[in-house]
Amino acid sequence: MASSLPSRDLLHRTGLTAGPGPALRLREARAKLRLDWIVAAMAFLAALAFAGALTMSDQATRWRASLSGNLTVEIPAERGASAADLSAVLAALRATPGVLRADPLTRDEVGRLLIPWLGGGALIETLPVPQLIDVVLAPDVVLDMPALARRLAGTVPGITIDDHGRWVGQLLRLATLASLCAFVIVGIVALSAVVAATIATRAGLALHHEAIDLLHLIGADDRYIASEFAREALLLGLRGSLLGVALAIGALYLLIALAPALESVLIPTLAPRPASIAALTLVTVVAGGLCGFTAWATVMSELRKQM
Amino acid sequence: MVRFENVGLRYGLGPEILRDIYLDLAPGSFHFLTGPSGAGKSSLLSLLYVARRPTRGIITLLGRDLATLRRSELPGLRRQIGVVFQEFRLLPHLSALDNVALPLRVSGLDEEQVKDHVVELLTWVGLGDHLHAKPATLSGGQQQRVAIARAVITRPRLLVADEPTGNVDDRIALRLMHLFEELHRLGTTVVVATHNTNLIARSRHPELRLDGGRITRVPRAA
Repeated sequence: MASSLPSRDLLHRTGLTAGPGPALRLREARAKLRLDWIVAAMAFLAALAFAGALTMSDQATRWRASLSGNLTVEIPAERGASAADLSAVLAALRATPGVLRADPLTRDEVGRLLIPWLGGGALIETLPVPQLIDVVLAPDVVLDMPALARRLAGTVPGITIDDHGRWVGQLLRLATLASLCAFVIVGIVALSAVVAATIATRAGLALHHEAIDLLHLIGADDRYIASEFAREALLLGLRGSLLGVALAIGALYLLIALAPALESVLIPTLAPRPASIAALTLVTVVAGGLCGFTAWATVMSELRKQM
Repeated sequence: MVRFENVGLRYGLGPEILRDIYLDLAPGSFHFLTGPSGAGKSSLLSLLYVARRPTRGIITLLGRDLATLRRSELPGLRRQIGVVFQEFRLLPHLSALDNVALPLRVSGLDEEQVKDHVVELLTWVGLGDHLHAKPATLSGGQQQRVAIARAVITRPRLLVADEPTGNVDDRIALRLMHLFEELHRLGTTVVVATHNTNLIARSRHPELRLDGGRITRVPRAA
């Protein structure tokens, strides 16, 4: 071997201060399988599912918050509530400990509530409508509902009290189910991404088997080879998931823009929040990490079968 | 250093390519391996650089019995063995420099040291002006020199070369043999498979002859 080492100047002239290149040319396999596009599609679905779950969860919380602490008392329409009946009921309600306010709704206010079902025409004017009383409770008050119902029924027979518990319960069950579905979708998407990364890695191993044999013969251990695959898969996964999440954010903003035009109370309010941003970041990182780890595990498992 | 006892090798269910091989190479020895084409030279060399295990018999390499060697211990053993393949086996997408640097990098050597050593060696073998050339742009002889540089860059304890001078002229062949001699003087055990009778004649090193899958001439002591 030469007796003297090359000068630092020679190293710079020859561009040798740059880091080492990859030992395996994995981009060839990548071009054939487009793992990044597959991951982009998966991340898009996962991000939408996550956003849907979070939105439903938020909406359920808002519904519960807005309806807890409220009661609606109804004097049936067929009875035709007289001013005396209404006064008696209001007096009974206002005398109940824990009741902050008890306000009767006007006929116009009740009519507006019926518009979504009956339309806004003259029909409402001709129909008998019940007398509704909006009751606001003090915070953290738990009323003895059966006792209150008995007391009010003694004042006006047929009167009913609705604490919205059944409706809120159904909404909460719906929101929970939607969240569960979203997590199942995320799980299926993650599993699909793992399968795609495994197939891509196996294809890469087959394509580069000669180079891998050579690396083994010059002393590379399985970890060295697996890290080459894992690095490439990680980069592809991150790139794909970034693209997928970006597309999902675009789709969500489109939905936000369209929501008022759809005029539907069933479309929850969509808004970017820290939890959503954290969830989408999580999708990106987890997708990349999942691809990298899958590639690593696949290579280690396949190489273990060799000599 | 290298010990073969009753070693046999066959591929699948085919006939035995190597039969009843007994071999004992002392540390720091230098041997030529000769024989007609198809005699099993490359198969014997592949056992020496641990590309495969024998079908039967016992091989002891660098003090380790291959039969009891765990898979996780193979890289450590292989890093002590330099190999010059007959067909070079350079990675086509890497430059001459990166090909030669591979054995150092897989060993985890510091990158600055890698560069120093590789430039020095490639300059020595006459490729100082081709550091960044890809194998496809190099002549057969130049590729062979890159392959040889890759084999010796780690100063291996055992060097196995399959026709290392097959594609170079006599002047370069002699220069490469000097490189092997230099390694030999530094303590490396060298086995060179060759058809070049001139090289053998110029050397004082013993010759192992393979014929019909058997070693037919036992080497004299180095």
